[in-house]
Amino acid sequence: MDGHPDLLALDALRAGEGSAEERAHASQCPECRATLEGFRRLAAGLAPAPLGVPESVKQQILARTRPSPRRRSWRPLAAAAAVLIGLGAVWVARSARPSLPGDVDRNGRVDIVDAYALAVRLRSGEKMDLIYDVNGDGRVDERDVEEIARRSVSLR
Amino acid sequence: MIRALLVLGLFASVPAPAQQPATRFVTVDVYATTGGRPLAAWQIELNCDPSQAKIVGVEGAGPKPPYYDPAALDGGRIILADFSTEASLPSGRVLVARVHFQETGSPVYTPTLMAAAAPGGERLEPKIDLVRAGGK
Repeated sequence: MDGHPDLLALDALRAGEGSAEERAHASQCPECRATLEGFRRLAAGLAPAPLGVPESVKQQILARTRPSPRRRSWRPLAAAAAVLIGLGAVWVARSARPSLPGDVDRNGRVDIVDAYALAVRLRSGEKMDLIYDVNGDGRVDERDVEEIARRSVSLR
Repeated sequence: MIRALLVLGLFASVPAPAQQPATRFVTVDVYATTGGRPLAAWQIELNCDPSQAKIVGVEGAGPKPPYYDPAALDGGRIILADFSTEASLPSGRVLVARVHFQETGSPVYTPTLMAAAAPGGERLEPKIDLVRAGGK
């Protein structure tokens, strides 16, 4: 193998992919092992946020961090890119996910307008994300609308 | 004469029945005035002093009652709500619910708008008013 695997290859190794040659290199090379470990920690931290960074953005960032043939100064840039990717993914995930179960319109509270909004979307045939599975039965349907309506009038 | 006085004395010694508060069953109609916008969803809290009146039933404007917590029955606080995804929706002054109370005093009923929306989910601020009927 000629030189270190690039970041994409190391990330592929983290995900259980990559070639046997790259795996062998990463197990021997302290630098690559450290980068791989950093990726693993980052991935563990992002586990609750299933949304990823768009591939085009990832490619642009990684293109800037690829090592030049003469210098291997990509490691600080890679660390910065990893942090940016992580923060971006967390931000995207948080902004896409309601803070309260059933808060469909994300205004910070659950009321009848949330039930209405979900009912309208279901009626239009829109495919709904499981974050709206308020009753936890693994599906988003009219029963979730009923559950939101019930919660909105609860006196407790 | 003596016999008549004895009879009167006997009646006077019988304790009078305790004064029971008069119980009345009344309805309170809840209206939302949207100012011409169709009303797709609404949520209103209704309060009164439970020592003066208790909630005993709820009706909707249509065939089914609005959403409410059954724990509200026999108390003085209830949250009512409903929505419709139908194309044809009421506007203007809309009767949204009728609440039945058992009054034992002189309650003051206080409605509070919690949420309302037009079709599409745009938030509305309709005026809420009540009409009490019955119990005369």
